[in-house]
Amino acid sequence: MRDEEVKGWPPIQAYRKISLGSLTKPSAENQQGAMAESFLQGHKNSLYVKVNMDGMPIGRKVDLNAFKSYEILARDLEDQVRAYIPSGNRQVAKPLMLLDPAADFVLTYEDSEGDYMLIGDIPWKVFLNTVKRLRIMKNLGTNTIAEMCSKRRKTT
Amino acid sequence: MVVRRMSSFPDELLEHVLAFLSSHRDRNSVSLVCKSWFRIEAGSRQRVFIGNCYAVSPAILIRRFPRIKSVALKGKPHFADFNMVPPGWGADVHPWLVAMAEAYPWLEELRLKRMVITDESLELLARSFPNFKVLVLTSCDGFSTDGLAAIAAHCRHITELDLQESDIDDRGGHWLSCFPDSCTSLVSLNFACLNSEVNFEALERLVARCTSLRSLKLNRLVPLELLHRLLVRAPHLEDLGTGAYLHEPRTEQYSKLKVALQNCKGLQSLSGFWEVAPGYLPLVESVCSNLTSLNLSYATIQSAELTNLLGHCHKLQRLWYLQVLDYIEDKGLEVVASTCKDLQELRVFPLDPYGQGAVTEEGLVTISKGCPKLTSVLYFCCQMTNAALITVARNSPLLTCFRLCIIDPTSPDHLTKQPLDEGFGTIVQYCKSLRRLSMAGLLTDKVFQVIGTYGKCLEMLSVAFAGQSDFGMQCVLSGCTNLRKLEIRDSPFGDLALLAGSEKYESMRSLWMSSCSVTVHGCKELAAKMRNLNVEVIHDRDQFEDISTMTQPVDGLYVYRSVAGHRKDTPHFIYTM
Repeated sequence: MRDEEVKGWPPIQAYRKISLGSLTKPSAENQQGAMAESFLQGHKNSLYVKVNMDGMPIGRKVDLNAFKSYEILARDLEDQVRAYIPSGNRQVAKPLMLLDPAADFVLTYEDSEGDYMLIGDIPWKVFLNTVKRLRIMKNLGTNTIAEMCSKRRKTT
Repeated sequence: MVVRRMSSFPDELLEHVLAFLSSHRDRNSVSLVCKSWFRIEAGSRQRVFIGNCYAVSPAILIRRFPRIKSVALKGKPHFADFNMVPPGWGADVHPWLVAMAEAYPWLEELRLKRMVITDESLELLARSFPNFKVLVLTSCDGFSTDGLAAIAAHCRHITELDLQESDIDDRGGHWLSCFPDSCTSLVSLNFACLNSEVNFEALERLVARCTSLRSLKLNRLVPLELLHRLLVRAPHLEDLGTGAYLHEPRTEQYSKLKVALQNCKGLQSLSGFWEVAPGYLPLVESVCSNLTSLNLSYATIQSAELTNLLGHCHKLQRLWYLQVLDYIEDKGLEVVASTCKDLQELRVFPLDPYGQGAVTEEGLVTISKGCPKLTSVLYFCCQMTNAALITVARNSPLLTCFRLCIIDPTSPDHLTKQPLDEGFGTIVQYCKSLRRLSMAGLLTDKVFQVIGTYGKCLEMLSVAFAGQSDFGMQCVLSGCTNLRKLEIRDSPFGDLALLAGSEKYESMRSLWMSSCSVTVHGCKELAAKMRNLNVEVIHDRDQFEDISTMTQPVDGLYVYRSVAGHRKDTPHFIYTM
């Protein structure tokens, strides 16, 4: 995901960059305006979601608004979760690599419709609006993940 | 056998024939035939277009063309539109005005794009050219409304004053009141980009006495409640830019405006529409069926009302449209595809680039299926697929301009996760008249190979975050025989690629490269090899004392052919190699 602060991106002239604030004020009839407002609000406040990991009885909570991208979120989660792996396990040293489909664990999220989705497909800000909780799942094998992905694509 | 030589052909006859040639390119071609044709053409040319103000000097212009009445000048590189050119870069029109005030006192028209013009320059213009008629300032800056006051007050025969998208120091609306009562010649007035209120009565009187007024683009501060008063006085309007419609209309206002709008039977083009209260939209619907051009790119109209509107626009040829924060996404475009069968140009702008409701590849595919006359597309979207691009290529072979922007600049095909090489390659292959291309998404060297092979008509190419190696850029430079403008940002092309195009740049207008892998060494080598090119490195001096020993890539590079030699007005951050 690109850092949204990249200079000159997206390539729109300054006078066209209409801010969300210029949308009509939310009213009873104006559902779209209300959505715009809550979209704005979501970005001003914290957005705490639960994070559970397969095999771990106790979960964590993270403030998604503290992150700007999937990479940063994944790295932070990797750091946090590593502390929970028992020290007797030789695999402590191996990094989690949550965004790597070939790794031991994959990062998934529950969306507004209750489905569990692989992270990374939709733009970061769209993700923030739809995510309900995160789950670090055991990787069931690339084939199964690929199967899951292709099944998901056919329904969307 | 008598050989009739061209020089025995009477000059006047050739001049008469040449008078039928209006296109700059045709005239340029004529001037290359032989010396006498060069001379006659130069002596008779009245309109000149200079695509890069630094490619030629005022002195050279005046020496060659003694009878110019109309000048068009372009200044800053295109990427200046996106704040990628630091302020103070140049393109000041003043030296041109000083020279022309003396050489062309009969000057009637000046059209500037991305140039700097000061109030002092505007005053000089207003005082120096008694026959001055047309002033068009597109994306210009450096002046204030005081300069406009000078134009209004002194250009007695002015027919066109167009401030398209310029960045103006707005000191108030008094400038409009400076048009004297004797000014009755206005045909076109566009002050949409200004942000302060003009005196409405003065505007009303101006509109009333300018009976030839055909195009009027108001700014957002002209109250809608009073719009009918202007329309009533300008029933021959063809092109209207409205102000803002903040409040819901009262019945009386509504019916007055309705009558006034319907009275403008020649209305073909509508724009403006900041903050539209939904109650006004049915009014617009009543004139929609005649519209050929509709610019809703500032209108935060909610999608349902917008789709109603578009459903009436059967004659639409040009549509500029703003995606609204909405869950219906591509639906608006479906209505366009089923209604606007004459559509030639579509531009879809993003409201919030990172927000929801962005259009997807589906909207573009729908348009290409429904609008067979599509020639020009500018499309901001959140995702794309190769399959969609291939479908567009098949459905819209008449495309001359295709500009796609995906909000995440390196996003692959969102279904297959492959680069978008195949999709863009097919566009270039099938659209044989493609002149302008702006690409987006994950792209490797492969797409450049295809562009080099098939992009024979391509004149302008914009590249961002694309390619893998110098080979990509080399393909374009060697294959695109008609390439005139190449602009590249954030792509891994270096000195090897730069130098591969050395001779090519002489046949092009310009090359722009920023955040690539080009070094000072490569730029110096290019400059040494090609004496007719200006090779300008853009780099912030504060960081480095001696740029000539710098080994890291330069921030930016601008290369262009010139017969005027090196610029004499370079700011501190530009180094001419």
